Amino acid sequence: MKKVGLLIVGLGMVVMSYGAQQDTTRTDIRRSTISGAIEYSYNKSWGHFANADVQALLPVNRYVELNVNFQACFKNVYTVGVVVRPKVVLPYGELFFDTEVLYKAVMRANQMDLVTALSLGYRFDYASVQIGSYARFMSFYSRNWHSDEAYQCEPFNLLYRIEVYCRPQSCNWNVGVAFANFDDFQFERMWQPLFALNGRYDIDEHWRVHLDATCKPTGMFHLNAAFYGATVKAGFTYRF
Amino acid sequence: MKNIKYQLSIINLLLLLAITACNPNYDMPGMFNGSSERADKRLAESLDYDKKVGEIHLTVPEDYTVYVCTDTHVDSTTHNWEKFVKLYKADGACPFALHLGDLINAKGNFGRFFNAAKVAPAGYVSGKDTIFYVVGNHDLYFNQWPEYKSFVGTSTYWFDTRTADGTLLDLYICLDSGEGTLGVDGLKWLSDILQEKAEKKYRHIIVFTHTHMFKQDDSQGHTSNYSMEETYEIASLLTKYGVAEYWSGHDHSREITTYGKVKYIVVDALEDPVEEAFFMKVRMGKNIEHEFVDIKD
Repeated sequence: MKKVGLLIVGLGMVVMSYGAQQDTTRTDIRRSTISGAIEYSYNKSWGHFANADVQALLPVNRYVELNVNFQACFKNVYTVGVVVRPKVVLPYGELFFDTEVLYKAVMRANQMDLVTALSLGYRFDYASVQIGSYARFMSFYSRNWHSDEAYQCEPFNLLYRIEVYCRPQSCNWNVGVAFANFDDFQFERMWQPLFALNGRYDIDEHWRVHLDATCKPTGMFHLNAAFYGATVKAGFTYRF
Repeated sequence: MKNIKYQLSIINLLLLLAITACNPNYDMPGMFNGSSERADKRLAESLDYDKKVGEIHLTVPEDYTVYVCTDTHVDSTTHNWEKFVKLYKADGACPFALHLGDLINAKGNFGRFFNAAKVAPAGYVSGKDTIFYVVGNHDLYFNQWPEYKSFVGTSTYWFDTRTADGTLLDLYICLDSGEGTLGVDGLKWLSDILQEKAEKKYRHIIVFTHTHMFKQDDSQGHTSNYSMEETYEIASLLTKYGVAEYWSGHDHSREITTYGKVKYIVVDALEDPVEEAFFMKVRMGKNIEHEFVDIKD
C-alpha cells in the first residue's frame, strides 16, 4: 500500500515538474486585469436571457490578491462578489485561500441571496482544485419585521471545483474543463454541479479573449438527471 | 497497527463505492440522463388524466386531521407503510392521507406497495381509501413513470376541501419534482393555478411535493434539491399567493423552517427498517397544528 502511495506521489511530482519547466514566464505576482463579457443564458425557470459581466483582478502584493466581480442579468438579477485571496507560491504551483462574499439581488423574485465562502485551493499549470464551505442567507426584501416572516440560512454547504487544462498557463492559448458547484457569479447547492468548458487566446501582451460554456443539469443526485440550463460567455481581458 | 487501520479504511471506502455503483437499486446511468419521461411530458399526461377524473372537492368537517407520510421506499417489507394505513383508517377525524413520494425503493415494487396496504391504487376518492400520492425520484428512475402512471394516474393535480354546506376550506396542490425541477410547464402551471385559486379565498393553501426547498441542518448532506434559480422562483410564487405551508420529503430527516410567509416542512422517512420512522399528523382548522408520530408507538 505504501509503495502504491509513493508511486502516485512520484508520478504527480513528475507531471508537476514537467508543467513547471514549461512555465517560463511564471512570476510570483500576477498582473492586474480587467475583463468584460456578455453571456447568453437559458434555464428552465427564467427562459432565455443575457448577462453582462465586469471583473477585475488586483494583486495587492505577492501574498494577497483581490477579485471584484459584477454581473447584471437582463432578467432583473444583479450580482456582486468580492474575493480576498491570500496565497503562497510553492516550488510547484500555488496554494491559495479564498475568502469570498457574493451578494445576489434577485429583484424579479423580490429576494436577496448572500453567500460567504471559505476555501482552500491548489493550482499549477495543468490543474486547479479547490474545496471549502459556504453559508447562505436568503431573505425577501419586503420582509415584515413585525411578523413571523423569517430569513433562510443554510450554514454549511460544501463547495468544490476541479479544473484541468490541456496546456501550461504560459501558453498563449489554453482550454480547460471544470467540474464545480460554483463560479464567479453563483453558488449552487452541493449536489447541483456545473460542468464548464473554458477557452482563452492571448492576442498580444495585453489583450486576451475567452470563450466559456457552462451546463447545469438538475436531478443528478435524484439519479434522474435532466438538462436544466446552459450559458455561453464571450469576452475579453486587458492585462496591465 | 496504524497502517493496518489505514489500509482497512481505504478498503472500506473502495468497497462502499463499489457496492453503491453496483447496487441494482440505484439507476447510476440516470445520474447523467434520467430514463423516465421528462417533467413537461409527465405534466401533460397528468393533466390529461386529471381532466378525465374531474375536479375533486372533498366534504370534510371544519376541523379535520390529515395523515402525511413519505419515503416508505418499499422493497422486501411493508411494515411501516401497512401500519400507517391502518392508523389512518382507524382515525375518524382523518378524511384523507398524503404520501409525499418515494413509495418504493426500486423497480418492481409498486404491486407490493399497493397490495400491502389494501388501498385502491387509482382514482383519488374512495371512502377510507383516499390517499393522495406524490411521485418521488425512486418512483421514476429505471423508467418507472409508465408503471407509476398505471397505478396512480397522475403526478400533478389539485383538490380542495369544503364543508357540507359548500363553504371553501383548504386547497391542496401536488407538484411533480421527481427530477429536481418542476420543468418549464410545471412552474407555469403552479403560477397559473395559484393565481386562479388565490381569488377564491381559501382558508389555507398547502403545496405538497417530494423535493425539499431548503435544508438547514447539515445542509444538503445527502439529498439534492432544486437549482437556486428555481428556488427563488418557487419561493416567490408561494409567498406572493399566500401559500401557508410546503410539505415535502426526500431528505429523510425532519426540518421545519419558515421563509418569507411560508412554512417549509420536511417530513421524516417512514421506510422499513429505520429505527426512528415518523409520520406527520396535521390538524387543519383555523390554525394548522403538526404532530410527528413515531410509527412504533
